[in-house]
Amino acid sequence: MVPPDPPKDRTMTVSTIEHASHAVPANPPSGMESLDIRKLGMWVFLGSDCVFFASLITTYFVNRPLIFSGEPNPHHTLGINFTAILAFILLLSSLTMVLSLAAFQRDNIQSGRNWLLATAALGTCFLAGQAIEFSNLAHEGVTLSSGLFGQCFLIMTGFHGTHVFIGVIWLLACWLFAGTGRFNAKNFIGVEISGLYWHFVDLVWVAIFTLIYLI
Amino acid sequence: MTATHTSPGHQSGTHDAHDSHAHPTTATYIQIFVVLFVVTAAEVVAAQILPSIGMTSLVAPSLLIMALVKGALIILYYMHLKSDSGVYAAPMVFGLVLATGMLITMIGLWILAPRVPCTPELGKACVVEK
Repeated sequence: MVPPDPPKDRTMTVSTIEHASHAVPANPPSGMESLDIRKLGMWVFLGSDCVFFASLITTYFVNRPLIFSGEPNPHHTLGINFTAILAFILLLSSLTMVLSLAAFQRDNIQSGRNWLLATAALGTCFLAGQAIEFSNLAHEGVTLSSGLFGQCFLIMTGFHGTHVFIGVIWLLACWLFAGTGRFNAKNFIGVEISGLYWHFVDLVWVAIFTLIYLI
Repeated sequence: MTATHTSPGHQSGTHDAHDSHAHPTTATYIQIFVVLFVVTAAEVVAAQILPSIGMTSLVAPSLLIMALVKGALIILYYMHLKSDSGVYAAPMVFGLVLATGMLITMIGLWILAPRVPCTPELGKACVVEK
């Protein structure tokens, strides 16, 4: 059997490989001279998700005169106080998420894992609260097929809930990976990116809570 | 609150865990949370109290301002845009501008042209074309 031809410039190949392994460090510092493409990619995704949720909110607002002229009246149907508690839960989860990242940056892996688990738990509490709210609305006749309000509201909050669910799964995956030693003070980009996604989910709820529930 | 900035000469791939210029401190994060908590509570109070004292016209502007404050705090401090490169902000800013523009444009179009053909499903909301 004829062995394959060796690379013509073996030295350049080896040095190229060595250079490639250092080309994208685990945690490149902030600054124009060293952007992390993974982090930038997440920001691009979040920018697009902004437009997605804006389209759902716009649909609600465009149909608002029709929605409020019919039954049920959203102001009478939506429980503001209960939803405010959900908003507080999500804000608290943002705090635990950023504390988790800070812990990993200090190389405190166990603390980082604990805060990650707390964030996932709070996200699960939020989902449970959403499920209770959807159940109450269904009992009052607000469903996807009940009319304009049901469609607009449930699709918008349903998509947000789906984002939260995906976020919880992602956080639990990060928690598992952190247990294998994948994240530390020199490599926490995975936690940072998952944190960006989680904070965005909270940001969307800030908008939905204000624009849909309160105004 | 501690304003922080990333040191430009930081070594690639390394991270000084005690570098307070890299990100806000834990105390700052907790302070931000307290502000978010208070503003959210103020939103709930404003939404329920202002209409009852005859200041309904102030509800939307005050709530929008409070929501913007909360959003800015989350983006700048929790998402670290205040201490990170401005390049990361570009996609988000573009998305937000596009989203806001779409919202304002579509609502404006519907306000300017609210007349729709009457159908039984629309009920009270439709306008009879004469």
